[in-house]
Amino acid sequence: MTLMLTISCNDDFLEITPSNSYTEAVVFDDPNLATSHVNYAYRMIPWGFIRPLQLARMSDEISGRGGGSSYWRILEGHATPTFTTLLNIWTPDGSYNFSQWRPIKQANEFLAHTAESALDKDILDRLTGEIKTIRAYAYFRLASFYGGVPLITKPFSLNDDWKVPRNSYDEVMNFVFTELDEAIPLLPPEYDQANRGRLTKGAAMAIKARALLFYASPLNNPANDKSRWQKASDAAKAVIDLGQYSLYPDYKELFMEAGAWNDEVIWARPTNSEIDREARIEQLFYPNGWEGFGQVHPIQNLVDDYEMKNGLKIDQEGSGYDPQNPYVDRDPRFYYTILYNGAPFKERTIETFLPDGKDSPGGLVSSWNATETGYYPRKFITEEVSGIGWETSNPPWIWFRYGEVLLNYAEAQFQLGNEDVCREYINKIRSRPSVDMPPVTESGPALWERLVNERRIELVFEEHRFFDVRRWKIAEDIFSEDRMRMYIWKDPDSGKLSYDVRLLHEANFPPHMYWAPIPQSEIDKNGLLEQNPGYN
Amino acid sequence: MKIFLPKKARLIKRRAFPKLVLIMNLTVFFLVIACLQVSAVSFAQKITLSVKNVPLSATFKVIEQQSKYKFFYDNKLVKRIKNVSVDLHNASVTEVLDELTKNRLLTYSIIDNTIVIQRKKVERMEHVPDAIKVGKPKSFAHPDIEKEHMLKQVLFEAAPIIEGKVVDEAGEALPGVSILVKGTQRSTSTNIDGNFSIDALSANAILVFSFVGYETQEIDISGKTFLSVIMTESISRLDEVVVVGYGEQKKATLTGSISSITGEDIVKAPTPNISNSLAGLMPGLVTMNRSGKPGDDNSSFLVRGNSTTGSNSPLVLVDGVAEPGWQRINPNDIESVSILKDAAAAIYGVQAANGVILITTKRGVTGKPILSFTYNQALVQPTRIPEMASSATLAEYGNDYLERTGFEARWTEEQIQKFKDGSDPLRYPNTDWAGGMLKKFALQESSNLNIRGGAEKVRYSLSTSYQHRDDIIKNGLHDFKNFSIRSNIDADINDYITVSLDLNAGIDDVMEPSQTSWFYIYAANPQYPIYWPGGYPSNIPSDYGENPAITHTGGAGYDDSKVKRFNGKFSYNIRLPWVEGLGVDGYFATNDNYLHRKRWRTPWEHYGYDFDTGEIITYNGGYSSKPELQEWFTGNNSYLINSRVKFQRQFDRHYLNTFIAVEQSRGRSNTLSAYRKDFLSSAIDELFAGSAANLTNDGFSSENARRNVFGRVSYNYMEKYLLDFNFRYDGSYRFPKDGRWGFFPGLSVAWRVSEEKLIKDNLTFINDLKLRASHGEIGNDAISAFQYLQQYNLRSIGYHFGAPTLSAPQAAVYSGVSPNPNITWEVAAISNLGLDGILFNQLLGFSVDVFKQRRSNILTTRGLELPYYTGLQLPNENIGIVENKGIELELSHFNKANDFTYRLEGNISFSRSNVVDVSEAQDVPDYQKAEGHILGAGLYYDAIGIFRTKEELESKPVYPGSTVGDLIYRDVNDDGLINNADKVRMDKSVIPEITYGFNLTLNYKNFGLFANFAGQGRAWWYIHQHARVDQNGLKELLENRYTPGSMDSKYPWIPQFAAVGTDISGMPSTMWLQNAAFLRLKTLNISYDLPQGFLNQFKIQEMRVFCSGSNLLTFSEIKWFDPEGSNERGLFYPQSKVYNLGVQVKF
Repeated sequence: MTLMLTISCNDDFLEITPSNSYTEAVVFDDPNLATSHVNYAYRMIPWGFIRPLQLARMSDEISGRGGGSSYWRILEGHATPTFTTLLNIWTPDGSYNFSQWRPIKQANEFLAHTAESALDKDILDRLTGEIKTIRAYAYFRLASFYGGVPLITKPFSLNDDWKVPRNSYDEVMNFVFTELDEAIPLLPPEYDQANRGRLTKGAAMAIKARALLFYASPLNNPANDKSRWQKASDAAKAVIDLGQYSLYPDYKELFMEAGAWNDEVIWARPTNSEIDREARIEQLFYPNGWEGFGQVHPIQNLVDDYEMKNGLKIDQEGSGYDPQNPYVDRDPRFYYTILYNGAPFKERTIETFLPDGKDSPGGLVSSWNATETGYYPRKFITEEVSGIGWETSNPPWIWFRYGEVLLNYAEAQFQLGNEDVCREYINKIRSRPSVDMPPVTESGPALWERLVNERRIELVFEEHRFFDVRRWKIAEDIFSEDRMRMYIWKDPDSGKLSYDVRLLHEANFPPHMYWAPIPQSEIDKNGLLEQNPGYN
Repeated sequence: MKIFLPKKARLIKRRAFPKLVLIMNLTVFFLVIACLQVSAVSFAQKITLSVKNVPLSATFKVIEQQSKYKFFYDNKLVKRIKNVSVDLHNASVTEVLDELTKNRLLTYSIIDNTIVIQRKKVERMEHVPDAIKVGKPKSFAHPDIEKEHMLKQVLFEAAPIIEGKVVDEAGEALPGVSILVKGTQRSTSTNIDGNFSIDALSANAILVFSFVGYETQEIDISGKTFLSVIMTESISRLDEVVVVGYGEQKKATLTGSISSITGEDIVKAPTPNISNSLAGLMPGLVTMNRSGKPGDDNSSFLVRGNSTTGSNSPLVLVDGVAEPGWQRINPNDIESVSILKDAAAAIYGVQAANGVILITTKRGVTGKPILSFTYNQALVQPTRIPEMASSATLAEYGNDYLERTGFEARWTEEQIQKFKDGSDPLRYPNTDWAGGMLKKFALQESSNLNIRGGAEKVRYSLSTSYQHRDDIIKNGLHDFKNFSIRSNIDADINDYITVSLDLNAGIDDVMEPSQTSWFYIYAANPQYPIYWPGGYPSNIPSDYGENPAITHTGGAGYDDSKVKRFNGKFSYNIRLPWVEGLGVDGYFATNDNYLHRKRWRTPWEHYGYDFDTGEIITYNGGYSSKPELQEWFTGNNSYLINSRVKFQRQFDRHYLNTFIAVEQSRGRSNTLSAYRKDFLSSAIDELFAGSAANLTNDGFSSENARRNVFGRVSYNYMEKYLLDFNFRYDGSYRFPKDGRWGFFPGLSVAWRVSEEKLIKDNLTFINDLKLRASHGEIGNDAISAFQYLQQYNLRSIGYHFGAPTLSAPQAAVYSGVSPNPNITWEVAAISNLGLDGILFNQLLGFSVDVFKQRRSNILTTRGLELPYYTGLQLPNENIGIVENKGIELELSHFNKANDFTYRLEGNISFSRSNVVDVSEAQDVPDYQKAEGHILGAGLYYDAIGIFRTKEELESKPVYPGSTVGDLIYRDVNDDGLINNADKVRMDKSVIPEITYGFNLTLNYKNFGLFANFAGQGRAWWYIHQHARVDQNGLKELLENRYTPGSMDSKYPWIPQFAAVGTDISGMPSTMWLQNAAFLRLKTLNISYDLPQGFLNQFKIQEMRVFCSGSNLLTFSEIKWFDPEGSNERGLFYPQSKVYNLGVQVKF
């Protein structure tokens, strides 16, 4: 019998090792694999182009399509622990696969496994510096969003008790500062071309400067402890004193692929629209007239906050503002940031007028993608591509740039009473060659108003406004302002345009929304997690 | 008298079918002979022949081996004499031959070294059976012997040789009927013409005629020599043999809960996919056909509902081997399908907790080859296409929406009027997209050729089939082709050894567009035409220009999957001569399948139209600006090796059937893929033509292994008290080394009450009554392997450092699931109690089963308990307990009146699961807990109305942000607020708790009718429909939507988004939960057999024409879509309604 079976009793037959994955022993002693482990942490950091301009939409900067029924309810003040939509950086939902806890998990895992690693000290130090900075940045973001969160510094395992209480805001922030202080000496000032995008010494210092600024701000520093402002000021000055960074002359190109890796950029996320679907920015932002998706629309409130070229606010005496010709002689950054009716773009001008403007809801081409406010964003996008499908540019997402550090320093100096230094640094921003706005000369509360508006304009869409308005504790006023849109009618007979500012949506910011609600699903799983006040 | 040819040459000459098959057949035969030659001890001219119940031809072989003689004979002649028992030692050749021909219709002569066997000449007096008095010696002349000098004239005493013919009720010959002389081992069977002859040994013998599916008859020959026997179709099916795990059992002696049907029932449905032919036919089998996409229309199965949160798919085996793509087995190849629902499945151990489905293919039968050809041509229509809103309705809805959200209305009254009256169809069309996109019907054809037959030692069943189905969409790209061949060959090597070789191969070719979503058809804006004048596909509102008339017809490229399957199985069965009833058997099976998938995506153009100038404006559409191609090759191969020792014997009144076996399997899977983009031209869709920049490739593999020992003891006492014990000691590679092996026992007992004398004598209306009980513990290990190890995955989805455009993403390493060293299989403790009966002379048959399953160690993750901040990826853990209880009832009724015979059968099954313990968030209110509910019970808001006025809105608790026109939700926890805490767990799931079916088989003369109804009950489908200003919604929904001021609209504001839960009125609520109960005419088959007399002129044995249909009628509460769907948005290729015409011819 040729088929007599010989099934041995040797159990090795069932001993199969996985062929698609590495084992723990290998990963953390191999420099390439260990580096790849850190690379994944970078990958997991939520960034600005996801759910495009998530935090700008949660502010008074820009509106997203279809607002009528979903996330707008948060701007109406109806955020709840079970309805968080864009107000959530805790849990991933749907196709949005980012959470600030993911880089933290990766960092905890790395640090726990490299405690006794055989890696060369040089590489281990650098990787440790990178991963600690990533973790510190994530905790800083979480604390800025939620206040105190559980401070988790070691990986969990299956049999651990997963229920942990929240640490206080101060505990989390102090952890951030300590970690950054440990990381800064481990990090190199810069990398070679192929490794750009990794965290540098300057980047860690800039994170620390912003974190200290937030820590000193009224929301988090109710006693107005001046030493906090001093620390914030020192940290910002330390970045400035590195002498490594400078303002990039061209404000428009600064945010585009063409200007990538200029001297103003401290830390940026390189994008590759082939891989990052979120980074197909032209496709998402282009007006419908060019078959773009027109996903986000700057609101009138933002447009109105751009000064006139002469440095006056539009409602100021002698500003020269004409409500029926509203887009002339404005701060040049307006033209670099916003596409408005009549803005030259590609081979023609933008037409957001009704009844049949090419980029309006009455347009011939994909009118369902038309703007709801009369505007489209111009920041980040280039005119050089078609915007159709994957054919888009790859602008880096700038986490930290020198311009912000200057404004951080100006703000801290103002709070420390050094108004002249404050003015000097604001005016550095305003005197950027492509901007060239008249210097500010005010002092006292008027100077503070100029500083607030300067940050709004200079850093628009860059995930600052959301936090700034909160930390300054002015959100009840600012974010309760109704969101407005521009209605433009072109008389079919005379061809004359008439401009009418109309209501886009009512908004309301109840005080409890200074802190975001912790998702109910997390509280259901961990009764020790205390919800932020006002959400129960 | 014909010239005798040497035996093997004769074999060749007799075959009438194609040479290729013949050569294959013979090659196999000779190979087998060569490999497995049996030696015999040789005595010089003295023969020792001691055989029991073997074919006569076998004895000739022994004689040949022990002597110099060779036999010449006519196969047909010898074959009739089936079983001989001889016990002669050191006898002469003539002594042996005398013994062998004694009392048989044979004579022999010896010429030189040749023994010639001939038919004994008997004066035939057919149809005059009483003319011959059995037992009286008579002599006959032999008028036509050609070579008289070579042969002796033999006179003999007439023995009681009985000849006859067996026919069915329609008068047609029944081949293969076995005939046993009662009380002896002597038996034979009818030939292809229904004729038989048998030496009855005694003039008062009783002959027992039996045949599967027919009543067994005992006929007292009482001196007759010719019998005309009419077999009547069996109702009880008690004698039917049912395939059980690793064996067969008579239905009468079954102890487990096993449903089975024969292939005959399957071929009546005009669906070439067998997974769609079983609905309603087998109690306990839940079938769910969720899609009708060509090539992707498999029904999914559940055995007795759902018992676990883990994988709930039953194990499906074809001839004992797992065969991927079993749904595509040629239905004509199927002998039977059995389902093991209780402890009977324990013999499949760790893979069997969800039940086991056993498919058995047809094998050859001895007899002249029967060539059967079947051809089916069908017209296929969607069962249901949702009715979408008109242009005017959508415009009105859009205006409402815009105004509600603070914008200006888009359409004027005049424009809406134009949509309504159709006065300007170019600018204001009202396009019926589905109507315009779909053909009247799609075509489906299937053809099948089957040849079955067998010589004395070799039996074969060979088949080939072809199926084709095209798209319901005009010029649609969907297409499915299937080609398969199967060859099952059995060869008796000698009296003790039978070997079999089963080979089957198939190709599935599934073609579909690269972009297939039905969303673009249903949601297409009716205010746009499909084509502008001149045939330009219009630029309807969509993300990338997805006009379905482009994307569904290949404009976006294609996605083509070709699967090649090959399965081979070599089996042997050896009867050990030393101990009666002892044997060994086993098989070696290999399974290979290869997938080659090619996805070619191309950009396209869609067009705008300038109404003023009539100019066509071209726009680019697509997901990339240049074509791109991805290809995958996946190869899976595995083997299974199996061997068992068995013993089966009747000891007086005790019957024992037992075996012990070992089995092991190993498999491997390899995948290779490659991608290129930026093809210069779409003319060539091969990788080389793509850009060398940004090309990617990938590859990976995996392995698996199983090993086990299993066995069975079946015992019965006079077929009255029955006991069956199964077990498997099973080792699975998925678990850690010290936790790989598990023991899975199953015990069942039965008592045939009707065999008790008391009942037999007194309650004669009871034909059969059997009480069954069983209990077993069975496993389920369907999870991914190696979860006991910490693994780190490597993917190229890391950061892309460096200048943005030049960099490929860096490699990323991240941990997989956290290791769970304690992981083990799920355990199902299944108990079953059953009662089977046949009453009133088979006017009523019934079978009732009640069962209870307790599934513990359920493999699931603690996902609902795991806070996200832990960052853990959870492995499966053995947590959770689910109980599942149910009842199954089967009724049958068989009767005949004049030329009518009919069978009515019905079954209904109910099963309800109850989550005893499950991983869930602990801090949720009790009414949201999954525990205490059925599996799959969802969380819903209780919608109790629609806010009609501002006052109402202000006086009731609301979901934050609610407006007039939104749904009113019940404030379940009475906290004055509607939020997540007001969702309620409801015992409503899309998996039906009740499934039922009833069917009617009716025969009248040459006409036959088969109708099978199948249905489900207690199932709910959450259908989330929505509409947007530019995307159409259901007509019913939009026409009955809330409009400002409406006090009685049926629906609230219509939700805007597909994303569930972002729209107040669109959140999962009872508003959208619909009763998915339905009843449908699953199969209707009307056939006509052409009269035999007519067919005889064409040498056609049988010809049947039939028309049949599938899903011809559907009754359901859900009207929007086919009620068998489950997709929340109704986005699935609609199920098929089939109108079929077919013909079957047998030669």
